[in-house]
Amino acid sequence: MRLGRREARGQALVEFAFGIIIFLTLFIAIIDMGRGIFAYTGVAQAARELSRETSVYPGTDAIGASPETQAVYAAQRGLVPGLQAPTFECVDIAGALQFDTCVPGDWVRVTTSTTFQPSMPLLAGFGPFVFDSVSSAEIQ
Amino acid sequence: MSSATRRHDAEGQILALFALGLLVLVAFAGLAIDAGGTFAQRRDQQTAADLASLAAANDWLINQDDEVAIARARSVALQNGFDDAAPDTAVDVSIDTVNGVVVTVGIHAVHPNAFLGAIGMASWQVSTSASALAGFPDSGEGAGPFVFSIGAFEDNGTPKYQTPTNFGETNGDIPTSQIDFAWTNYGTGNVNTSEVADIISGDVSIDRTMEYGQYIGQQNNGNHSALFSDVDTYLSGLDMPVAVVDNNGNFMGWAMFHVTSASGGSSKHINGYFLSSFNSARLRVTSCAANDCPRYLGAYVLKLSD
Repeated sequence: MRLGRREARGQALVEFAFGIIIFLTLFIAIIDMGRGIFAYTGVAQAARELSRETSVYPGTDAIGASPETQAVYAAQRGLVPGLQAPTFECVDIAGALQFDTCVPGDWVRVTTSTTFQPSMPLLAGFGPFVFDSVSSAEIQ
Repeated sequence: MSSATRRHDAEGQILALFALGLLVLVAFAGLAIDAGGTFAQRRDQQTAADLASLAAANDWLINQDDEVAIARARSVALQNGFDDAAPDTAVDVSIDTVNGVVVTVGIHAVHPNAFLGAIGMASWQVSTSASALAGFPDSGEGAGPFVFSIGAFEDNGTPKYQTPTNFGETNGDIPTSQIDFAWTNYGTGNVNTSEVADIISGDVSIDRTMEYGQYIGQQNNGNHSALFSDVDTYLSGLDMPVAVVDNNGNFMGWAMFHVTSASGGSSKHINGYFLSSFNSARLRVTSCAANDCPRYLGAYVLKLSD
């Protein structure tokens, strides 16, 4: 049976409706993947930058409170969306916490984290996801 | 409007939408891949700058030659993937000898973008920098109350006694042989037993910056028999900075000494040995130009300073 013009238009609409859902899902998934990978690499980058700077400028009071470390944190917050305040710990080479003042030869362990909220409806309900990263460097 | 025209218009719209969508996808793929690649390059570049500055500072300490140190920095940067001779890459090296020697290495390189070129960002400039400090320490923190002889070191500064050795006390104001030591409270008058005892117990911490050639021998040095048991009790098993003097009591440099034990009996001695290492937390370069720092005596400073 040959379809009439109105029926053909209806069929096209149904095909378009299915197609657009698949297209938008893939579209948003790729965007989410880009955002997610960026957040993941960004949070790791922030941890490494902060540990490196703190290893050179551990600060005289609380570790991680030096102006140099705080400047790096401010720069990383501008780069990594949702970057949370990092934690700084003084540890020995085996990773055991040191409760005395952090001195050269000790290590600083920096933990950074950010939350990532997917836009894709299927995944959005499972979010937000927390990405974190740890980096250590020897106090100079 | 004919149906052919409408179909043609619709195709045009789809093409425009597809192009726009593709641009957005490329931008977000670029965000993931190009930004991730740039982060990775930055870390590699920072590592290269750190290592190049440390190597060059160490080299300068050995050779005291700017050109050799600069060549060393560029060689280490090259080994880590950043060639000063390559287009779009520069390895800048500067040397400052005001306090110890500080070598600063800046690496500038381009990160070519795989995706973001489509939206006008074909590459990003990545710059990193690192400074390393090297020198023979002029400051000791938490120093032990002992003065040792320069005779305990080879001419090149290597300690002769790197295994447990008995160092005696022969009552001299300064050490009288290479296995002798003299007590000190880092003062300029008579040696005061109770002040030395406070240093040994940790009640007083000696944080001192010394000038090369400064006289630090004290008067009326004696055996101070009671102090040997204090050393055995409080300092056994510990490392500490100690001052080293020439035959006239003039400061030559700081060394790191490990106390094994001490005995105040008939054979009064401190048993221990000198360490041969760098980057002790308690030795620093604080106020000596590179060529005026004390001598190398087994320990030196080599660390990132910026």
